[in-house]
Amino acid sequence: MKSNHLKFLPLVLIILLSIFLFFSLNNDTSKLSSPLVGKKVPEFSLPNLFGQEELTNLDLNSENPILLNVWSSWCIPCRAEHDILMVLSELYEVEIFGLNYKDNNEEAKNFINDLGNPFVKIGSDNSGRTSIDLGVYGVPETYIIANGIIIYKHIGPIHMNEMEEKILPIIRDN
Amino acid sequence: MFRIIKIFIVLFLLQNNTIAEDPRAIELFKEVRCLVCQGQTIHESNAELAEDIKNLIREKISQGETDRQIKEYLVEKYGDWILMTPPFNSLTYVLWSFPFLIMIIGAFAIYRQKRGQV
Repeated sequence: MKSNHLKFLPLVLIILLSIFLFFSLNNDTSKLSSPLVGKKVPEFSLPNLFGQEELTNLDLNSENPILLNVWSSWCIPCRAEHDILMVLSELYEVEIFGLNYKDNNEEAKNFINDLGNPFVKIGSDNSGRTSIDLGVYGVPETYIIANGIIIYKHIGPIHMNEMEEKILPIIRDN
Repeated sequence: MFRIIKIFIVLFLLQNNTIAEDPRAIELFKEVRCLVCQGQTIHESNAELAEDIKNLIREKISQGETDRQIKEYLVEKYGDWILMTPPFNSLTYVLWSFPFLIMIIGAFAIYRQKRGQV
């Protein structure tokens, strides 16, 4: 009698496994959170796109939460995101630092001159090495940093609703 | 005939242009995931981020870092996911022990069935 029940065990296992795998199909690996959240910003120093003074991790030590936005002039989603960054800096007075990822300095300057400058300071990471140190996958990505500690990482462009529902509440609460 | 010789000359020059890769670097490339690809290692990928990470690994090897140090660096920056072989830890013990568990259950089932037949 008991072995009759056991007969269905493989079938049940297969069904359970299928359900598990089916839901795993929708896991978007690009949404993995960074292991750097909760850690200090790694030390770095990058040439300033517009000025003399370099952008370093020490610039990001402000007590109030600030944003570090990784962008590039060749990145189309960054263009779309730029308006949001302008709103954040001008309307909400959030300090935003820019990390210009693997870009051509002239094209990066044109991008800013055309679309406006939401950044306090922009560092040029032409080789992309500092970005690897920060665990960057691609552009755009945005870190929220308070007291020199990464408290949140946003992958991809920030949309209007994400700004209102995620970014601003985190800035307010910290 | 002349054309064939020309082709050979070109091929010979091309071959000299590719710098021989350190076998240790290649082994590491095969263990590191290309983060922006689907299921590829950086060894198989020409994606820009993959190329950058390959350069970084080459540099770290030339600076005398061990394989372990290099992997630890990458995991610190990108998480366990960057390694093709997930490490055994509190998150992955189910994954690693599952095959053995299934094997034990299977062996037990076969044992019971055999005993029932006799």
